[in-house]
Amino acid sequence: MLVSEGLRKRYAEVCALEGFDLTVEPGEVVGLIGHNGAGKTTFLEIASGLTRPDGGRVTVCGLDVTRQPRQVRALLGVAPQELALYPRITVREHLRLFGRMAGLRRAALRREVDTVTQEMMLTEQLDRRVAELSGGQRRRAQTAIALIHRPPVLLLDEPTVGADPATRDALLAAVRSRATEGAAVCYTTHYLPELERLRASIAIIARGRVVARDTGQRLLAGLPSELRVRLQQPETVAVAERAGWQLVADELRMSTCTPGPDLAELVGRIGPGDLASVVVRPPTLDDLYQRLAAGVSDAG
Amino acid sequence: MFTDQQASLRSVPGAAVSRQGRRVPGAARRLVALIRHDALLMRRDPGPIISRLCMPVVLMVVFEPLYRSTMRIGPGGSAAVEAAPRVLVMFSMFAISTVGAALLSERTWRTWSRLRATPARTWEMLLGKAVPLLGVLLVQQALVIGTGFAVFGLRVASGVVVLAVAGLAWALCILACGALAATFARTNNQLSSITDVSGLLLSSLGGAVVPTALMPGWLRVVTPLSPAHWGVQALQGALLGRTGDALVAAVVLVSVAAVLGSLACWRINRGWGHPELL
Repeated sequence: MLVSEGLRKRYAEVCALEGFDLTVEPGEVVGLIGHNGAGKTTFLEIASGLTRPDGGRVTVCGLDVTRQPRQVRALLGVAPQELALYPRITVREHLRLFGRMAGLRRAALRREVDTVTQEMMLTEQLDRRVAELSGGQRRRAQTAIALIHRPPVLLLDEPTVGADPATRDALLAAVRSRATEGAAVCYTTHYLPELERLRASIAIIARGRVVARDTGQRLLAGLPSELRVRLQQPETVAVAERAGWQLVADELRMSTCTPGPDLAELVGRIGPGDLASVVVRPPTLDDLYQRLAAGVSDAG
Repeated sequence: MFTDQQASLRSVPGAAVSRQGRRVPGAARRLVALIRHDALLMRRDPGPIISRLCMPVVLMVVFEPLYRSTMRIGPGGSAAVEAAPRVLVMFSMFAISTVGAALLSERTWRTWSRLRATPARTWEMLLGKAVPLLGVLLVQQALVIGTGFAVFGLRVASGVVVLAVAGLAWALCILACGALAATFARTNNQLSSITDVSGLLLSSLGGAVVPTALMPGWLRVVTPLSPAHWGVQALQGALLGRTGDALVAAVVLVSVAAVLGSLACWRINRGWGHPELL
C-alpha cells in the first residue's frame, strides 16, 4: 500500500507539490492524470526515493520513504518516464541485474525472467542488445525491469509513451495482472482510454495536489454529454442554431447535462420528421482531461 | 500474494527483513551484482581498456633509454626503476577520464537514477563501478613492472607486497579522482577538458613526465601538492627498497582517495545523478 500525506516540494520558484495526499490500496490501479507540470512525475520521484520532499511524507507498506529508503526500494517496481537502459547489454542481462538487486537468485531469477519476458512479449528479443531493439521493445524492456521482482507497489510513469498498439496491449495486460495479484499500482498517462482498460480509479492532479479522486464513472457523472443531430432539411439548421445548437460540418452539436429535454425541445422547434439521426455521446475521460487542461475543472 | 517472491527473498543469506516479510538483499550481494554488471559493460566496450594496457608497456620500452641517458645511469644499472613508475603514473592518469566517462554514461543513459531506485547505496554503486576499473589498473601495473622485470632486469627491492600496497593506493586515488571529476562534468566534452588538463598538469607537476630532480627549485616546492608525486614516490620506493617512503606515500594516497571519494559521494547524494541536471 502506498500513502502520501501532505507532500510538499518546490524547485526554486516553482511549486511542484503542495499538500499532495493519495492512497493506493493493494490490488488497486490509480491513474494519475494532469497536465504537464502538474506534479505527477515529482510525486513518483519522491515515492521512489530519488527526490527528497520539502515536507509531508510517503509510506510504502508502512515504511517511510525518507527514513527507510533501502527497505522501501526493495518493495517498489519503478518504470521512469524516460527510457533508462544500457544500450550495449541485452534484455536478459538487464533483467538479471535488476532481479539480483532486488534479491532474486538462481532458479527464482530464471523463472521470473521467463515469466516477465513472456508477459511483455520479449522472448525473441531476450538476448538482443538494447541498441538493436525498436522503440516499443525498449519500452517493454523498461517495464519488464519494474515487474521482474513482483513488487507489491508499482510506480509507472507514462509507460506507454510512443508505444505501438501491440506494446500497449502487452503492457496493460501485465499491469492489470499484477494488480490482480495484489500489487498497488500508480500509473501516470495522457492516454485516458488506458485507464478504462486497467479499470483504474483516477486521481486528478492540478497545481501540485490531488483535486479529485474517484472512479472514472463517478468523476464523469457531473460532465455534460454531447448531442449530435443530423437534419434532413438543411434549411431548418438556422432554427436549431437560434436554440443554442452549433453547426459542425453537417452536424448540429450541443454539450448538455440534460440531453433528453434538450432534444425534445429541438424536436418541438423543427418537427420530428426532420431528424435524420441522433447520437448521444456520453462524457469520456478525455473530456474530463480536456476540461482540466483548459483550467476549467476543479472536478472535486 | 507474492509467496514465491517472499520465499526467494527469504533464502538470501545476510538479508534484512522488512515489515512485509521481504528481505532486502545484503550489501555484499548487491555489490557482487553491480561488479559483474560493470565488468560486463567494460567488456562490451573494450577499446579504451586495451589501449591503456598496451601503451604504457610500449612507452616504457621507449623511455628506458631516454631515462638512462638523462639520469646518467651506467651500463650495469637499470633505468627501468625510473621509467616504470613514471610511465605507470602518467598512463594511469588517463584512467581518470575512463572512470569519469563510465559515470557520465550512466547519467546520460539515465541508468544511474534507475539504479538509485534499487536498494543499492551510493557507495555500493560507486564501488561496483570502481572494482572492475581497479582490476584494469592493477593489470596495467603488472604488465609494466613485468616488462621491466623481463626486459630491463627490474627488481622489486621492497618485495611484491609493498609494491602491491603502493600500486593499490595509487589506483584507489585515481579512481576517486575520476569519480569526483565526473560529478563536475555535464557533458563528455566538459569531462575531457577537466581530465585532460588535470591529468597533464598533475602528472607533469608530480614528476611523472620529468623527474623531480631535474625541475627548478621553485617547482620542486609544489610537487607534493600533486597526487602523482606520491604515486611516483610509492611505486619507486617499493622498487628501490625504500619501504618507509613507499608506505608513507601510500598512506597519503589512500587519504586523498578517501577525501575525494567522500566528496564524490556527497555530490552524488546531493542529486548529481539526476538527468535533468545535465
